[in-house]
Amino acid sequence: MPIMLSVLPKIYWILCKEMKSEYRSREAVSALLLFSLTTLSVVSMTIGNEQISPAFLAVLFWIILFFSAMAGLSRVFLQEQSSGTIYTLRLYGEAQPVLFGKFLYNFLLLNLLSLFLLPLFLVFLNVEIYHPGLLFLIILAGNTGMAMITTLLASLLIQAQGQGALFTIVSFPILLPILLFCIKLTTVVFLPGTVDSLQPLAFLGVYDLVMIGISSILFDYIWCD
Amino acid sequence: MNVALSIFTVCTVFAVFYIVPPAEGLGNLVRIAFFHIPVAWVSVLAFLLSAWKAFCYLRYRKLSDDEVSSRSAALGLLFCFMATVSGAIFAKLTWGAYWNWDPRQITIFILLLIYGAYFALRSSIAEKELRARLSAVYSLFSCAAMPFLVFVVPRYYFSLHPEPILNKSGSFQMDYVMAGVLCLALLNITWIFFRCLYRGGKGKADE
Repeated sequence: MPIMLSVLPKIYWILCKEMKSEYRSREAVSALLLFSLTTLSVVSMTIGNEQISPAFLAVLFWIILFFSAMAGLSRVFLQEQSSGTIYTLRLYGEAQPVLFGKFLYNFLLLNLLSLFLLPLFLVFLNVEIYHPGLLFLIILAGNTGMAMITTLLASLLIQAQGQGALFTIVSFPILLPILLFCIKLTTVVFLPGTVDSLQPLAFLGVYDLVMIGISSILFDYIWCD
Repeated sequence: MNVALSIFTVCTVFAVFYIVPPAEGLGNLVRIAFFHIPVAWVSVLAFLLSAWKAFCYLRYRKLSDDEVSSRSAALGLLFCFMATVSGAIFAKLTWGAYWNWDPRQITIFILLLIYGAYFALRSSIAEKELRARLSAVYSLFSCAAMPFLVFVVPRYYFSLHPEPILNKSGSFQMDYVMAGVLCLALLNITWIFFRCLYRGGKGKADE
């Protein structure tokens, strides 16, 4: 399969290019990390030393992650538009490598954000984790779906007006199943005792796969005309 | 056609108010259901039709498909809103609260959000062809998320909502007069929907 072989290096190149341009400006990383830090500190300051239920903690964690993601992830395409590099990318980049390269970049960014947020969350809100392995899987699955959906929707908005506000509006209904599943599952992680059902995790995985498939199909229509 | 539709509507309204007996436990309130169920059904139908026409547009690139798709979504938004409001009133009268995040309420709320986002996206793009293409992509993308919202998410939330009429066991829990009138109402509202859908099209073509 010579075609498949040639796609993988292209994805890698796109990923490298994203990282290099991010390294130069550090725009997305600083936006993501500072946004999450600000939100977390506000929450922690106002809540103080009160004991919070696991369900509430899970909601807080995912809301912080979600809104920080909204602040930074749309840059992956919108920055290309504002700096004018989108035309070059359109000329030289094929649809699938561009989509998956940018998806991988967003995915790495989200994982970085989670790595940054989780220890701070544990320290600030005095949380205990009872099932670290499960939490790892949940975050990984949640981030995969979030990265894919935000990548596709950011590419939809390249030529739209009022991108920042529109991005949140457009992505919220489609991200909602992921958020609901992740919150449900994370509640279990903060509770002592055995995990009784992993069914939501399976649904989360299936949802990720469906989103990756449909994005791959639909992106051709966005990119190739 | 219009005359036939009007007569049909009057007949349906008559049937709902005079033929259907007051239900056990619900009394006369049950008559709201004959508005609520068909309207909810049409809002889902409009969503699917909009997605189907979006698919047709991406396939054949005819702007008329995009027009039907967006008009269907607009009507869908209207019917979805009516379903939400009638459902909330029904919920207040029977369960005691307008809103309690019942799974069906979650689903219809998200459907409203999707419709809203769809029109926000449409209004932000000026060029016709581009708008048609991008909103078609969004319509299909949200359509892929819909099965999860309808079938999977509700499994994890407690529901007061009655089982769908044709429930899993396949039994039919309704007496025949009610079922007949419900079918009549479904047919009627669906007809009204298609009438509005294609009438709007003719009006635009004449201008």
